[in-house]
Amino acid sequence: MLFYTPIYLFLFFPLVLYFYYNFGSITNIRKTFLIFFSLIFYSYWELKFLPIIIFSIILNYFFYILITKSNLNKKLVLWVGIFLNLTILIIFKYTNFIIDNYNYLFQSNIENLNITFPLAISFFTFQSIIFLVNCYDKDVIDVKIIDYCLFITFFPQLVAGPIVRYKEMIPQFNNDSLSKFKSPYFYLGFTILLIGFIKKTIFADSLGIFVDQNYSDIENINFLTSWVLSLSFTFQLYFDFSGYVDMATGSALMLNIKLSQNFNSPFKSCSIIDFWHRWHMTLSNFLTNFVFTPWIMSLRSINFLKTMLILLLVFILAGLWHGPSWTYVFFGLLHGFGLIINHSFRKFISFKIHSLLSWFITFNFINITFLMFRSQNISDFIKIFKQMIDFKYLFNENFNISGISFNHLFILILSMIICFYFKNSNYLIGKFNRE
Amino acid sequence: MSKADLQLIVQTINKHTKIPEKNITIESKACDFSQWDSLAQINIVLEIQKKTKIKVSTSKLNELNSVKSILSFFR
Repeated sequence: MLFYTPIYLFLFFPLVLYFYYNFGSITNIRKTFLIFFSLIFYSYWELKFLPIIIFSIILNYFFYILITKSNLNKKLVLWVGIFLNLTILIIFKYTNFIIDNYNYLFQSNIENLNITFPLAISFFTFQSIIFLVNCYDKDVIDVKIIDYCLFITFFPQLVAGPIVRYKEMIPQFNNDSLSKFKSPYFYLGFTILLIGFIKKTIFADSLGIFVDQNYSDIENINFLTSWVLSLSFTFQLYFDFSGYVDMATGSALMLNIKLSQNFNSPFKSCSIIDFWHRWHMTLSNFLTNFVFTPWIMSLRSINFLKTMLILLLVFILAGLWHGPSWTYVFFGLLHGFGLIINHSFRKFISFKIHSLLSWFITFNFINITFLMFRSQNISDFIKIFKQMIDFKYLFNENFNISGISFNHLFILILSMIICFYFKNSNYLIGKFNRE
Repeated sequence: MSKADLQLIVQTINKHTKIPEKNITIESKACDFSQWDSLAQINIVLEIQKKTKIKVSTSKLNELNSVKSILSFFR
Protein backbone atom coordinates (compact mmCIF):
# COMPACT_ATOMS: atom_id res chain seq x y z
CA MET A 1 0.00 0.00 0.00
CA LEU A 2 1.44 3.35 -0.98
CA PHE A 3 0.43 6.72 0.44
CA TYR A 4 -0.64 8.11 -2.91
CA THR A 5 -2.89 5.20 -3.92
CA PRO A 6 -6.69 5.37 -3.75
CA ILE A 7 -6.87 2.46 -1.31
CA TYR A 8 -4.73 4.38 1.19
CA LEU A 9 -6.31 7.79 0.68
CA PHE A 10 -9.95 6.75 0.49
CA LEU A 11 -10.18 3.57 2.55
CA PHE A 12 -7.27 2.71 4.81
CA PHE A 13 -6.35 6.13 6.21
CA PRO A 14 -9.95 7.36 6.72
CA LEU A 15 -10.58 4.13 8.66
CA VAL A 16 -7.50 4.77 10.79
CA LEU A 17 -8.65 8.32 11.51
CA TYR A 18 -12.16 7.13 12.35
CA PHE A 19 -11.02 4.51 14.85
CA TYR A 20 -8.26 6.72 16.30
CA TYR A 21 -10.50 9.66 17.12
CA ASN A 22 -13.68 7.76 18.01
CA PHE A 23 -12.33 4.84 20.00
CA GLY A 24 -8.81 5.92 20.88
CA SER A 25 -9.39 7.83 24.09
CA ILE A 26 -7.93 4.96 26.15
CA THR A 27 -4.17 4.82 25.59
CA ASN A 28 -3.72 1.09 25.15
CA ILE A 29 -6.72 0.78 22.87
CA ARG A 30 -5.41 3.62 20.74
CA LYS A 31 -1.98 1.99 20.51
CA THR A 32 -3.51 -1.41 19.70
CA PHE A 33 -5.53 0.10 16.85
CA LEU A 34 -2.43 1.72 15.43
CA ILE A 35 -0.42 -1.49 15.64
CA PHE A 36 -3.24 -3.45 14.04
CA PHE A 37 -3.61 -1.00 11.15
CA SER A 38 0.17 -0.73 10.78
CA LEU A 39 0.49 -4.49 10.41
CA ILE A 40 -2.29 -4.46 7.81
CA PHE A 41 -0.43 -1.67 5.99
CA TYR A 42 2.76 -3.72 6.03
CA SER A 43 1.08 -7.01 5.07
CA TYR A 44 -0.69 -5.42 2.13
CA TRP A 45 2.65 -5.40 0.29
CA GLU A 46 3.32 -9.07 0.90
CA LEU A 47 1.80 -11.11 3.68
CA LYS A 48 4.78 -13.47 3.81
CA PHE A 49 6.96 -10.63 5.15
CA LEU A 50 4.82 -10.18 8.24
CA PRO A 51 6.50 -12.95 10.30
CA ILE A 52 9.88 -11.30 9.68
CA ILE A 53 8.97 -7.97 11.20
CA ILE A 54 7.20 -9.71 14.08
CA PHE A 55 10.28 -11.86 14.67
CA SER A 56 12.46 -8.72 14.64
CA ILE A 57 10.21 -7.06 17.22
CA ILE A 58 10.26 -10.07 19.53
CA LEU A 59 14.01 -10.55 19.13
CA ASN A 60 14.86 -6.94 19.91
CA TYR A 61 12.46 -6.72 22.84
CA PHE A 62 14.12 -9.84 24.21
CA PHE A 63 17.50 -8.10 23.90
CA TYR A 64 16.06 -5.03 25.63
CA ILE A 65 15.15 -7.27 28.62
CA LEU A 66 18.60 -8.84 28.60
CA ILE A 67 20.34 -5.44 28.50
CA THR A 68 18.23 -3.71 31.11
CA LYS A 69 17.10 -6.44 33.47
CA SER A 70 19.58 -9.30 33.38
CA ASN A 71 22.97 -9.69 35.03
CA LEU A 72 24.67 -10.55 31.77
CA ASN A 73 27.48 -8.42 30.36
CA LYS A 74 25.44 -5.58 28.86
CA LYS A 75 28.01 -4.55 26.30
CA LEU A 76 28.32 -8.12 25.03
CA VAL A 77 24.54 -8.48 24.83
CA LEU A 78 24.32 -5.19 22.92
CA TRP A 79 26.92 -6.33 20.40
CA VAL A 80 25.20 -9.70 19.96
CA GLY A 81 21.91 -7.87 19.39
CA ILE A 82 23.45 -5.55 16.80
CA PHE A 83 25.18 -8.49 15.14
CA LEU A 84 21.94 -10.48 14.87
CA ASN A 85 20.04 -7.51 13.44
CA LEU A 86 22.71 -6.92 10.83
CA THR A 87 22.89 -10.64 10.03
CA ILE A 88 19.16 -10.72 9.30
CA LEU A 89 19.54 -7.65 7.09
CA ILE A 90 22.52 -9.14 5.25
CA ILE A 91 20.81 -12.50 4.70
CA PHE A 92 17.71 -10.97 3.18
CA LYS A 93 19.22 -8.05 1.34
CA TYR A 94 22.77 -9.00 0.37
CA THR A 95 22.97 -12.79 -0.03
CA ASN A 96 22.62 -12.77 -3.82
CA PHE A 97 25.03 -9.83 -4.10
CA ILE A 98 27.60 -11.78 -2.07
CA ILE A 99 27.03 -14.93 -4.17
CA ASP A 100 27.38 -13.02 -7.47
CA ASN A 101 30.63 -11.42 -6.37
CA TYR A 102 31.99 -14.67 -4.98
CA ASN A 103 31.21 -16.40 -8.30
CA TYR A 104 32.94 -13.58 -10.18
CA LEU A 105 36.04 -13.59 -8.00
CA PHE A 106 36.49 -17.35 -7.72
CA GLN A 107 34.98 -18.36 -11.08
CA SER A 108 32.49 -20.56 -9.28
CA ASN A 109 28.88 -21.27 -10.13
CA ILE A 110 26.89 -21.06 -6.94
CA GLU A 111 23.23 -20.50 -7.68
CA ASN A 112 21.46 -17.45 -6.43
CA LEU A 113 18.99 -18.06 -3.63
CA ASN A 114 15.42 -17.10 -4.24
CA ILE A 115 15.28 -14.51 -1.47
CA THR A 116 13.19 -11.37 -1.85
CA PHE A 117 14.03 -8.87 0.75
CA PRO A 118 11.25 -7.79 3.08
CA LEU A 119 9.90 -4.33 2.70
CA ALA A 120 11.39 -1.73 5.05
CA ILE A 121 13.96 -4.13 6.51
CA SER A 122 16.74 -1.53 6.18
CA PHE A 123 14.70 1.00 8.13
CA PHE A 124 13.40 -1.16 10.94
CA THR A 125 16.81 -2.78 11.37
CA PHE A 126 18.44 0.62 11.92
CA GLN A 127 15.64 1.71 14.20
CA SER A 128 16.05 -1.47 16.24
CA ILE A 129 19.80 -0.90 16.56
CA ILE A 130 19.25 2.69 17.72
CA PHE A 131 16.77 1.37 20.29
CA LEU A 132 19.22 -1.21 21.69
CA VAL A 133 22.03 1.38 21.95
CA ASN A 134 19.66 3.81 23.71
CA CYS A 135 18.71 1.02 26.15
CA TYR A 136 22.37 0.29 26.84
CA ASP A 137 23.02 4.01 27.45
CA LYS A 138 19.97 4.13 29.75
CA ASP A 139 18.38 6.79 27.55
CA VAL A 140 15.39 4.51 27.27
CA ILE A 141 13.99 2.65 30.29
CA ASP A 142 10.78 0.82 31.24
CA VAL A 143 9.66 -0.09 27.75
CA LYS A 144 6.38 -1.95 27.38
CA ILE A 145 6.05 -4.46 24.53
CA ILE A 146 3.05 -2.60 23.14
CA ASP A 147 5.09 0.61 22.95
CA TYR A 148 8.04 -1.09 21.29
CA CYS A 149 5.73 -2.76 18.78
CA LEU A 150 4.17 0.58 17.92
CA PHE A 151 7.59 2.24 17.66
CA ILE A 152 8.70 -0.24 15.00
CA THR A 153 5.47 -0.70 13.06
CA PHE A 154 3.90 2.79 13.07
CA PHE A 155 2.86 2.87 9.45
CA PRO A 156 3.68 6.47 8.40
CA GLN A 157 7.41 5.97 9.01
CA LEU A 158 7.67 2.20 8.56
CA VAL A 159 8.45 1.90 4.85
CA ALA A 160 10.80 4.78 4.01
CA GLY A 161 11.53 6.59 7.26
CA PRO A 162 12.25 9.03 8.72
CA ILE A 163 14.35 6.89 11.08
CA VAL A 164 13.06 7.90 14.50
CA ARG A 165 14.24 7.40 18.07
CA TYR A 166 12.08 5.74 20.67
CA LYS A 167 12.04 8.69 23.06
CA GLU A 168 11.04 11.08 20.27
CA MET A 169 8.01 9.06 19.28
CA ILE A 170 6.48 7.03 22.10
CA PRO A 171 5.94 9.85 24.65
CA GLN A 172 3.65 11.40 22.05
CA PHE A 173 1.47 8.28 22.00
CA ASN A 174 1.34 8.30 25.80
CA ASN A 175 0.01 11.84 25.82
CA ASP A 176 -3.76 11.35 26.02
CA SER A 177 -4.51 14.92 25.03
CA LEU A 178 -3.11 14.13 21.60
CA SER A 179 -5.81 11.55 21.01
CA LYS A 180 -8.32 14.36 20.71
CA PHE A 181 -8.94 15.91 17.35
CA LYS A 182 -6.97 19.12 16.99
CA SER A 183 -7.86 21.03 13.87
CA PRO A 184 -4.53 22.93 13.52
CA TYR A 185 -2.56 19.64 13.50
CA PHE A 186 -5.10 17.98 11.26
CA TYR A 187 -5.19 20.70 8.61
CA LEU A 188 -1.43 21.20 8.69
CA GLY A 189 -0.99 17.45 8.29
CA PHE A 190 -3.45 17.40 5.43
CA THR A 191 -1.57 20.24 3.71
CA ILE A 192 1.76 18.44 4.05
CA LEU A 193 0.16 15.20 2.79
CA LEU A 194 -1.20 17.07 -0.21
CA ILE A 195 2.18 18.67 -0.93
CA GLY A 196 3.76 15.22 -0.85
CA PHE A 197 1.08 13.82 -3.11
CA ILE A 198 1.70 16.57 -5.69
CA LYS A 199 5.46 16.11 -5.47
CA LYS A 200 5.11 12.39 -6.13
CA THR A 201 2.27 12.12 -8.66
CA ILE A 202 2.85 15.26 -10.69
CA PHE A 203 6.55 16.04 -10.50
CA ALA A 204 8.31 12.74 -9.79
CA ASP A 205 6.12 10.62 -12.07
CA SER A 206 6.24 13.13 -14.94
CA LEU A 207 10.00 13.46 -14.77
CA GLY A 208 10.23 9.68 -14.53
CA ILE A 209 8.70 9.18 -17.98
CA PHE A 210 11.62 10.95 -19.69
CA VAL A 211 14.13 9.20 -17.43
CA ASP A 212 12.74 5.73 -18.21
CA GLN A 213 12.59 6.40 -21.96
CA ASN A 214 16.18 7.57 -22.16
CA TYR A 215 17.60 4.95 -19.82
CA SER A 216 16.16 2.30 -22.13
CA ASP A 217 18.07 3.90 -25.02
CA ILE A 218 21.36 4.99 -23.44
CA GLU A 219 23.40 4.29 -26.58
CA ASN A 220 21.59 7.07 -28.46
CA ILE A 221 21.69 9.88 -25.95
CA ASN A 222 23.73 12.98 -26.72
CA PHE A 223 25.19 15.83 -24.69
CA LEU A 224 21.88 17.64 -24.36
CA THR A 225 19.69 14.64 -23.55
CA SER A 226 22.28 13.37 -21.06
CA TRP A 227 22.08 16.63 -19.08
CA VAL A 228 18.29 16.72 -19.24
CA LEU A 229 18.26 13.04 -18.22
CA SER A 230 20.60 13.62 -15.30
CA LEU A 231 18.73 16.69 -14.05
CA SER A 232 15.38 14.98 -14.52
CA PHE A 233 16.45 12.01 -12.46
CA THR A 234 17.95 14.21 -9.73
CA PHE A 235 14.64 16.03 -9.29
CA GLN A 236 12.60 12.85 -9.75
CA LEU A 237 14.54 11.20 -6.93
CA TYR A 238 14.10 14.20 -4.65
CA PHE A 239 10.38 14.64 -5.33
CA ASP A 240 9.76 10.91 -5.05
CA PHE A 241 11.58 10.45 -1.75
CA SER A 242 10.72 13.77 -0.10
CA GLY A 243 7.17 13.52 -1.43
CA TYR A 244 6.79 10.13 0.22
CA VAL A 245 8.25 11.49 3.46
CA ASP A 246 5.87 14.47 3.31
CA MET A 247 2.95 12.08 2.98
CA ALA A 248 4.30 10.11 5.95
CA THR A 249 4.80 13.29 8.01
CA GLY A 250 1.40 14.64 7.00
CA SER A 251 -0.37 11.38 7.86
CA ALA A 252 1.33 11.30 11.27
CA LEU A 253 0.43 14.95 11.94
CA MET A 254 -3.20 14.19 11.18
CA LEU A 255 -2.91 11.77 14.12
CA ASN A 256 -1.20 14.51 16.19
CA ILE A 257 2.17 12.78 15.95
CA LYS A 258 5.28 14.70 14.89
CA LEU A 259 8.00 12.83 13.04
CA SER A 260 11.58 14.00 12.53
CA GLN A 261 12.47 16.17 9.59
CA ASN A 262 14.22 14.32 6.77
CA PHE A 263 14.85 16.92 4.06
CA ASN A 264 15.69 20.59 4.23
CA SER A 265 16.02 21.98 0.70
CA PRO A 266 19.07 19.84 -0.13
CA PHE A 267 19.61 21.43 -3.54
CA LYS A 268 20.31 24.76 -1.92
CA SER A 269 23.45 23.28 -0.33
CA CYS A 270 26.72 25.12 -0.89
CA SER A 271 28.95 22.21 0.13
CA ILE A 272 28.81 18.42 0.36
CA ILE A 273 28.97 18.73 4.16
CA ASP A 274 25.94 20.99 4.01
CA PHE A 275 24.18 18.60 1.61
CA TRP A 276 24.37 15.72 4.08
CA HIS A 277 22.86 17.99 6.75
CA ARG A 278 19.88 18.52 4.43
CA TRP A 279 19.39 15.20 2.55
CA HIS A 280 17.99 12.13 4.33
CA MET A 281 18.83 13.82 7.61
CA THR A 282 17.77 10.96 9.86
CA LEU A 283 20.14 8.60 8.01
CA SER A 284 22.99 11.13 8.40
CA ASN A 285 22.21 11.41 12.11
CA PHE A 286 22.23 7.63 12.46
CA LEU A 287 25.57 7.32 10.66
CA THR A 288 27.10 10.18 12.67
CA ASN A 289 25.83 9.09 16.10
CA PHE A 290 25.97 5.31 15.79
CA VAL A 291 28.73 4.53 13.31
CA PHE A 292 31.14 7.45 12.72
CA THR A 293 31.39 8.86 16.26
CA PRO A 294 31.74 5.50 18.10
CA TRP A 295 34.34 4.41 15.56
CA ILE A 296 36.36 7.62 16.07
CA MET A 297 36.01 7.38 19.85
CA SER A 298 37.32 3.80 19.79
CA LEU A 299 40.69 4.94 18.40
CA ARG A 300 43.60 5.40 20.77
CA SER A 301 44.59 8.61 19.08
CA ILE A 302 42.70 10.71 16.62
CA ASN A 303 44.12 12.70 13.75
CA PHE A 304 42.71 14.21 10.61
CA LEU A 305 43.90 11.41 8.32
CA LYS A 306 42.33 8.66 10.44
CA THR A 307 39.09 10.64 10.69
CA MET A 308 38.92 11.04 6.94
CA LEU A 309 39.59 7.35 6.34
CA ILE A 310 36.79 6.38 8.71
CA LEU A 311 34.51 8.92 7.02
CA LEU A 312 35.22 7.28 3.66
CA LEU A 313 34.48 3.80 5.02
CA VAL A 314 31.26 5.00 6.67
CA PHE A 315 30.07 6.44 3.38
CA ILE A 316 30.91 3.27 1.49
CA LEU A 317 28.70 1.44 4.02
CA ALA A 318 26.04 4.12 3.62
CA GLY A 319 26.12 3.58 -0.14
CA LEU A 320 25.80 -0.18 0.28
CA TRP A 321 22.86 0.28 2.70
CA HIS A 322 20.88 1.80 -0.16
CA GLY A 323 21.00 -1.44 -2.12
CA PRO A 324 22.99 -4.57 -3.05
CA SER A 325 24.79 -3.15 -6.07
CA TRP A 326 28.21 -1.76 -6.90
CA THR A 327 26.56 1.41 -8.20
CA TYR A 328 25.44 2.23 -4.67
CA VAL A 329 28.89 1.44 -3.28
CA PHE A 330 30.40 3.73 -5.90
CA PHE A 331 27.90 6.44 -4.91
CA GLY A 332 29.04 6.14 -1.30
CA LEU A 333 32.69 6.18 -2.36
CA LEU A 334 32.25 9.34 -4.44
CA HIS A 335 30.44 11.13 -1.64
CA GLY A 336 33.05 9.96 0.84
CA PHE A 337 35.75 11.51 -1.34
CA GLY A 338 33.65 14.64 -1.79
CA LEU A 339 33.41 15.03 1.97
CA ILE A 340 37.15 14.48 2.41
CA ILE A 341 37.89 17.21 -0.13
CA ASN A 342 35.36 19.51 1.57
CA HIS A 343 36.79 18.92 5.08
CA SER A 344 40.36 19.28 3.81
CA PHE A 345 39.48 22.54 2.14
CA ARG A 346 37.97 23.84 5.38
CA LYS A 347 40.97 22.76 7.42
CA PHE A 348 43.91 23.73 5.21
CA ILE A 349 42.75 26.45 2.86
CA SER A 350 41.84 29.85 4.21
CA PHE A 351 40.29 31.58 1.17
CA LYS A 352 36.56 31.29 0.62
CA ILE A 353 34.90 30.50 -2.69
CA HIS A 354 31.97 32.67 -3.73
CA SER A 355 28.76 31.04 -2.51
CA LEU A 356 27.27 30.89 -6.03
CA LEU A 357 30.30 28.98 -7.31
CA SER A 358 30.21 26.69 -4.24
CA TRP A 359 26.54 26.00 -4.89
CA PHE A 360 27.17 25.33 -8.59
CA ILE A 361 29.97 22.83 -7.87
CA THR A 362 27.96 21.13 -5.10
CA PHE A 363 24.77 20.82 -7.11
CA ASN A 364 26.53 19.38 -10.15
CA PHE A 365 28.43 16.90 -8.01
CA ILE A 366 25.12 15.72 -6.53
CA ASN A 367 23.42 15.73 -9.93
CA ILE A 368 26.10 13.54 -11.49
CA THR A 369 26.53 11.12 -8.57
CA PHE A 370 22.76 10.60 -8.27
CA LEU A 371 22.90 8.80 -11.62
CA MET A 372 24.27 5.86 -9.61
CA PHE A 373 20.82 5.35 -8.13
CA ARG A 374 19.29 4.83 -11.53
CA SER A 375 22.06 3.20 -13.58
CA GLN A 376 21.93 -0.59 -13.77
CA ASN A 377 25.71 -0.77 -13.65
CA ILE A 378 28.78 1.44 -13.61
CA SER A 379 29.27 1.19 -17.39
CA ASP A 380 25.82 2.79 -17.96
CA PHE A 381 26.83 5.61 -15.64
CA ILE A 382 30.08 6.08 -17.55
CA LYS A 383 28.22 6.19 -20.89
CA ILE A 384 25.94 8.95 -19.65
CA PHE A 385 28.77 10.84 -17.96
CA LYS A 386 30.86 10.74 -21.17
CA GLN A 387 27.99 12.37 -23.04
CA MET A 388 27.62 14.99 -20.30
CA ILE A 389 31.21 16.13 -20.76
CA ASP A 390 31.10 16.04 -24.57
CA PHE A 391 30.85 19.84 -24.81
CA LYS A 392 31.88 19.89 -28.47
CA TYR A 393 28.39 18.55 -29.27
CA LEU A 394 27.21 22.15 -28.82
CA PHE A 395 29.10 23.02 -32.00
CA ASN A 396 28.16 19.86 -33.85
CA GLU A 397 26.21 20.33 -37.10
CA ASN A 398 23.87 17.51 -35.95
CA PHE A 399 22.95 19.38 -32.79
CA ASN A 400 19.22 19.13 -32.16
CA ILE A 401 16.78 19.18 -29.29
CA SER A 402 14.14 17.02 -30.91
CA GLY A 403 14.41 14.35 -28.21
CA ILE A 404 13.15 16.74 -25.52
CA SER A 405 9.52 17.82 -25.42
CA PHE A 406 8.36 21.25 -24.32
CA ASN A 407 6.16 19.67 -21.62
CA HIS A 408 9.09 17.87 -20.12
CA LEU A 409 11.29 20.96 -20.16
CA PHE A 410 8.50 22.91 -18.51
CA ILE A 411 8.20 20.39 -15.64
CA LEU A 412 11.99 20.29 -15.25
CA ILE A 413 12.36 24.07 -15.11
CA LEU A 414 9.44 24.33 -12.70
CA SER A 415 11.10 21.67 -10.51
CA MET A 416 14.30 23.71 -10.43
CA ILE A 417 12.49 26.91 -9.53
CA ILE A 418 10.65 25.18 -6.69
CA CYS A 419 13.77 23.54 -5.30
CA PHE A 420 16.15 26.47 -5.70
CA TYR A 421 13.95 29.37 -4.68
CA PHE A 422 10.97 28.30 -2.62
CA LYS A 423 10.78 27.31 1.04
CA ASN A 424 10.20 23.62 1.71
CA SER A 425 7.26 21.94 3.43
CA ASN A 426 9.09 21.86 6.76
CA TYR A 427 8.84 25.65 6.84
CA LEU A 428 5.11 25.17 7.43
CA ILE A 429 5.79 22.87 10.37
CA GLY A 430 8.38 25.27 11.80
CA LYS A 431 5.95 28.17 11.46
CA PHE A 432 3.22 26.09 13.13
CA ASN A 433 5.53 25.22 16.02
CA ARG A 434 6.47 28.88 16.55
CA GLU A 435 2.82 29.95 16.55
CA MET B 1 31.57 26.49 35.63
CA SER B 2 33.01 30.01 35.75
CA LYS B 3 33.79 32.71 33.21
CA ALA B 4 37.13 30.98 32.70
CA ASP B 5 35.32 27.78 31.76
CA LEU B 6 33.17 29.62 29.23
CA GLN B 7 36.34 31.14 27.79
CA LEU B 8 37.88 27.66 27.53
CA ILE B 9 34.86 26.43 25.57
CA VAL B 10 34.89 29.48 23.29
CA GLN B 11 38.62 29.06 22.58
CA THR B 12 38.16 25.34 21.88
CA ILE B 13 35.31 26.01 19.47
CA ASN B 14 37.38 28.69 17.76
CA LYS B 15 40.33 26.32 17.44
CA HIS B 16 38.34 23.57 15.71
CA THR B 17 35.95 25.65 13.62
CA LYS B 18 37.83 28.93 12.97
CA ILE B 19 34.71 30.80 14.06
CA PRO B 20 35.95 34.10 15.53
CA GLU B 21 35.75 34.12 19.31
CA LYS B 22 33.74 37.32 19.34
CA ASN B 23 30.98 35.52 17.37
CA ILE B 24 30.68 32.72 19.95
CA THR B 25 28.42 33.47 22.89
CA ILE B 26 26.70 31.45 25.56
CA GLU B 27 23.66 31.25 23.26
CA SER B 28 25.62 29.85 20.30
CA LYS B 29 24.64 26.50 18.83
CA ALA B 30 26.22 24.25 16.19
CA CYS B 31 23.33 24.86 13.80
CA ASP B 32 24.19 28.60 13.80
CA PHE B 33 27.51 27.99 12.05
CA SER B 34 28.28 25.90 8.96
CA GLN B 35 31.85 25.38 10.21
CA TRP B 36 30.63 23.65 13.40
CA ASP B 37 29.97 20.31 11.73
CA SER B 38 30.01 16.78 13.16
CA LEU B 39 33.78 16.51 12.76
CA ALA B 40 34.36 19.76 14.63
CA GLN B 41 31.82 18.59 17.23
CA ILE B 42 33.87 15.48 18.02
CA ASN B 43 37.13 17.46 18.22
CA ILE B 44 35.61 20.15 20.45
CA VAL B 45 34.10 17.73 22.96
CA LEU B 46 37.17 15.46 23.04
CA GLU B 47 39.47 18.39 23.70
CA ILE B 48 37.29 19.68 26.55
CA GLN B 49 37.06 16.13 27.89
CA LYS B 50 40.87 15.94 27.90
CA LYS B 51 41.26 19.27 29.69
CA THR B 52 38.54 18.67 32.30
CA LYS B 53 39.13 14.92 32.66
CA ILE B 54 35.35 14.38 32.61
CA LYS B 55 34.44 11.49 30.30
CA VAL B 56 31.71 11.87 27.68
CA SER B 57 29.83 8.83 26.43
CA THR B 58 29.51 8.27 22.70
CA SER B 59 25.76 8.80 22.74
CA LYS B 60 26.09 12.06 24.71
CA LEU B 61 28.82 13.54 22.53
CA ASN B 62 26.60 14.70 19.68
CA GLU B 63 24.03 16.14 22.10
CA LEU B 64 26.61 18.67 23.33
CA ASN B 65 26.07 20.82 20.27
CA SER B 66 25.68 24.20 21.91
CA VAL B 67 27.78 26.30 24.28
CA LYS B 68 25.08 26.00 26.96
CA SER B 69 24.85 22.21 26.75
CA ILE B 70 28.65 21.86 26.93
CA LEU B 71 28.76 24.22 29.95
CA SER B 72 26.04 22.40 31.83
CA PHE B 73 27.48 18.94 31.11
CA PHE B 74 30.94 19.85 32.32
CA ARG B 75 29.65 21.80 35.36
